[in-house]
Amino acid sequence: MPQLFPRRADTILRAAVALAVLALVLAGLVARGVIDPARLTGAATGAQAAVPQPSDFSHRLHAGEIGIGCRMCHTSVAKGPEAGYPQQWTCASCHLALDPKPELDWRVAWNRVRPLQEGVYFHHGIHVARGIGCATCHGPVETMIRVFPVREFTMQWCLDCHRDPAPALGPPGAQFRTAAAPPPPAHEGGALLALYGIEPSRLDHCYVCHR
Amino acid sequence: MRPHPIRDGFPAIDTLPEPTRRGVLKAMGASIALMAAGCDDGPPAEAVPYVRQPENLVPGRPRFYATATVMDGYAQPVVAEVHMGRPTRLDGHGQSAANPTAASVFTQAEALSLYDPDRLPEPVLDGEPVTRAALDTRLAELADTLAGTKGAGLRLLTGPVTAPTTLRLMDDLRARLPEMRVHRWAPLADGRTEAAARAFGRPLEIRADIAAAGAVVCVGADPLGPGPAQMEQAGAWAVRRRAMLAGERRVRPVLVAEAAKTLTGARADHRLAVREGRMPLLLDALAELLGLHTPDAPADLTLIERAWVARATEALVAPGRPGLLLAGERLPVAAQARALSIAARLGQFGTTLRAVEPVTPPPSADEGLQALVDAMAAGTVETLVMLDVDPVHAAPRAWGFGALLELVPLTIHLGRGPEATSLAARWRIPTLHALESWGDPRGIDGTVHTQQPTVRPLVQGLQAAELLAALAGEPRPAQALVRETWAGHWPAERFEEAWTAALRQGLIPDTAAAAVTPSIAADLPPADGGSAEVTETGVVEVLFRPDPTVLDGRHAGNAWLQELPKPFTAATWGNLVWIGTDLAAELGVATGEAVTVRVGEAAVSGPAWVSPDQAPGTVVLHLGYGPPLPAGAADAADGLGHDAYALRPAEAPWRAAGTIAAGGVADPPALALASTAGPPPAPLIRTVPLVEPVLSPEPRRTQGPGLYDRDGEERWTYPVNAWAMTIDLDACIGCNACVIACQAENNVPTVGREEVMRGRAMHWLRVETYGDDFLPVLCMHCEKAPCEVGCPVHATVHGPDGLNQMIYNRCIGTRTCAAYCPYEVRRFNYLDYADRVAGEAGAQWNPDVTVRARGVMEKCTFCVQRISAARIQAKMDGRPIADGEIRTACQSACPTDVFSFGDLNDPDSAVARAQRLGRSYGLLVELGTEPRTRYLAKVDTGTA
Repeated sequence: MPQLFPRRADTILRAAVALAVLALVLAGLVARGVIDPARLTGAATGAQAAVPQPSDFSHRLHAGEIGIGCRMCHTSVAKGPEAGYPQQWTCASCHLALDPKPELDWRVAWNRVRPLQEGVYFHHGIHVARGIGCATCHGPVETMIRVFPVREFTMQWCLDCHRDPAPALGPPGAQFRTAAAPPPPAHEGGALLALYGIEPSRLDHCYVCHR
Repeated sequence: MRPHPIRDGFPAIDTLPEPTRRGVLKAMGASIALMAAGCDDGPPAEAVPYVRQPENLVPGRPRFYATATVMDGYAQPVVAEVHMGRPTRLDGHGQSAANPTAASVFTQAEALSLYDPDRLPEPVLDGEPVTRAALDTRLAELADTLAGTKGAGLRLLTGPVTAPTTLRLMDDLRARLPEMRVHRWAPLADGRTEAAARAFGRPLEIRADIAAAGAVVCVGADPLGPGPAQMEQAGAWAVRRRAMLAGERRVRPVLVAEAAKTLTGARADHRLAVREGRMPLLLDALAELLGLHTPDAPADLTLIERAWVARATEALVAPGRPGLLLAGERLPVAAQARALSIAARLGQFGTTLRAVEPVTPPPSADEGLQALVDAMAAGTVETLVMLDVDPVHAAPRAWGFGALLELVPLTIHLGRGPEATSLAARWRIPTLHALESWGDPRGIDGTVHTQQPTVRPLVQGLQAAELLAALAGEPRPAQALVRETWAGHWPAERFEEAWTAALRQGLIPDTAAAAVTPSIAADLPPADGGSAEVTETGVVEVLFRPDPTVLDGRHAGNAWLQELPKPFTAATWGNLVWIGTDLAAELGVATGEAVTVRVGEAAVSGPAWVSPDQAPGTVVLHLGYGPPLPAGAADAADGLGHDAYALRPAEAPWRAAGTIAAGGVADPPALALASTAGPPPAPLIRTVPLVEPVLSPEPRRTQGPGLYDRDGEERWTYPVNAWAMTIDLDACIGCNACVIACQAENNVPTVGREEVMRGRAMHWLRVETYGDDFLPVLCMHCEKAPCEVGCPVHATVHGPDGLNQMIYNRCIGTRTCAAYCPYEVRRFNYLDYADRVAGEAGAQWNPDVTVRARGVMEKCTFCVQRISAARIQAKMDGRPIADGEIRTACQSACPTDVFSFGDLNDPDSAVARAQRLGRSYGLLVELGTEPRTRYLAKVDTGTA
């Protein structure tokens, strides 16, 4: 009668058991919070990597060196849910004067740096109105040639701030400040909470972001 | 045999194949593989900015445009919600006095028709798809030929037209081509204008003002039912009713005589079920009692009919506000003329009735379809141009229009595409949708409503006006044509300003039809043979009615309307043969069983619907469904229902003598709700007397089975807002406008006939009907919600402002919440319904609402996207949310203002005031769920 199991069956079994033990240990570490999978996925999904774009547009040149403000191009950031991409005429208003190019390619399809997850509804306007600076989420864009996500937009990260917004708040008018600008006067988070009328207890229920 | 616990409760299970062991294993394996493959890549990662952004556009925020859709030629003014160039939803624009944003199901559903995947994408000439440019060339050649022959052999067939631009171009074409003949025809044409001509010596448009009326007497009329004036009349009805309940005016009854149940009949105080053939007799008896008419012989009425007529007479002459007598527009012209004449003698003109110049010009200048058919048979028609009509399907079959069409050398059809006539035409040209068009249709009062496009045409088509201009040899775009028409209306230097103001407002002011004081003849107009009654044994009165949702078939391709439960029957995706209990007993058939109806040689079979409220000896057939289309043609309606047009006689389109027998081949009806002819199983609908509109205190169960420790438990607190709704059952007329509004706003998918039959319709809001009572049911957002207890993953939780939140991305689809919900308002995505829609009409989706995936539960959210938008805007403006600032979709569509929505924390809010009323009650409160959606009981005005 031939052997039912090949010779290496024992090895396979031992390896499987070892893997299972390792998996259990890992699961335990994740459960106890020693390892944060959000950080791991952040690395795995390409946070920190610049997103390729169809144009050589540099935020460092425009926002950093020339010093154009955020709202020059992202016009609806304080008004509506979306910050908005600049219409081509915004670019043309300077560039045609500097360097008239009649054969300009008018259709530019930008790649979104960090698309919002499905089922999440983010409103730029209210965040700006409540003193959250652009850099809080987008990082020092004025130093980036090509914009890359400075952090993974995980739900935990949103919730951390919604539950304790005070550290992220800036004084009124400082939302569009870049790192190059003089720092705003020191403020106390609690006072700003009262100033903006923010009630953290109402900020972390599901329908705030999901619907 | 004992009943099977699953199979007998859910008969649809029997339609599923018996699983085999191998099949189960295969399915399991496949599911695991699909689980891995099912994760998609997320939203599109490309962002294409505008080259030149429209002024004042805020990305992510909709823009609103005043424009109009068209129903039976009449404008239905709307405000279109447009998201980044995509119209997604239509609100009404000032039709109903009770709620200016009310819009009928037909108007709202146009938002979906725009994206109909079965629309013809480009012109098809002799079977060859061509571009617009090629079509323009061919039309120019045709115009040259026609100009040479002065239009000899050219015939134009149109439906009802009110738009001055289209009428001007038709006159222009007539002037250029004097040999051309114009024919006007519509399958739903009625005898209103003709009746006015007979009563007052000239054609007039008669408009009723229900709001001003004391008693309302309807003989075969259904002012609350489908039609271009439905929203206006329903709003006026609500104004009248509210004034009576508030004690501002005396209580007067609504009396309705009808053959089959209508929305008006359901809300009548005295309803008489009577054959339509007997209605002229009722009018005669009414005239006799009023002393306006002395009959040769006493009218042969039954005791019940006599009592109804006596009541009607008494109500019409009662002191106080004048009454309103309305005769059905489908009654014989002679009977309608007599009713108008009686109303005039009762002094109703100038108070509750108004006569205005006809909004559709009198058809005398044109000819009917019969003349065209004769000419086609005689072979004198060379070129036939058909503007958005479907005579192959809807013309009397005895005329054989389809066969005659083949005798015409050149047939040109402008239409949606899937109609039988379009398929039979040599040149098929897609017509533009109202939301893609420029136009100036007149509303029911004659006011010109401007149409402006809200989206670039999705098909390479033409508007009727553009086709007419092309045939005249001077093609121009519709925008130019409409501006030409109105160029002389304002001084040239003010034109641009005035025209822009008109577009913004959606109408051209002071264009309403002129009022006319009708002259009353000395005698009542004579009754004629049109009122002959069917009396032979075995012969039934076959009545033809437009379908309650697809009308004459024009909406057959609209999935929202196909899946909308039709009033009373709750049938979807097909029509039913309505019979009374007398015929049902005689034939031995029950609801859903096949019956065959014959008129002359023709017969159709369909599933029966047995109504206890139908007049004995009557059968109602609903038009709008048709025979299967030829192979290769695509339409959502293909193969559904039975073709009532096949029985429709040419001479009397609304009533015929026929026979009915049990049996025949008919698909079972797809009923979206349980059978609802009788009273509700529990006191779901409560009634209070007008003298003391207070309900007894609500029962509150403190013992027995339940999910909660009811006493001494912790209660939710709402520090800022506590959203709630009330639903006034006394105002509900069952028109379903709220159902479509909810569907349009909340991306509620349609599921199709088979899935409806499995009980999987997805409507978040449904209108249940019990006898004469309507009950809109949606999520109650309970204080003690059983679903919140049931969910194992906290996918449904209680929010800090009282909403019962449904979190789709947490839901794992156990369906426990649906099982726990006593209101049956939770809907489960058994299949990827939304994905099926995505390829076709996904552009209609509201971007502010998540599109739910397969395996996810969903339900009414109180339109949380609107709450969020209002909350954020109020915060940004630094102010509290005002009462009435948030309006849910159902609320904004309702013509009678049934819904109120707002903050219970504000004691002065409309909803808080309504919930304090004595007639406020909760649905199934005895279960201890503490619903925060509350109802206002119906009021018994005591006239019954």
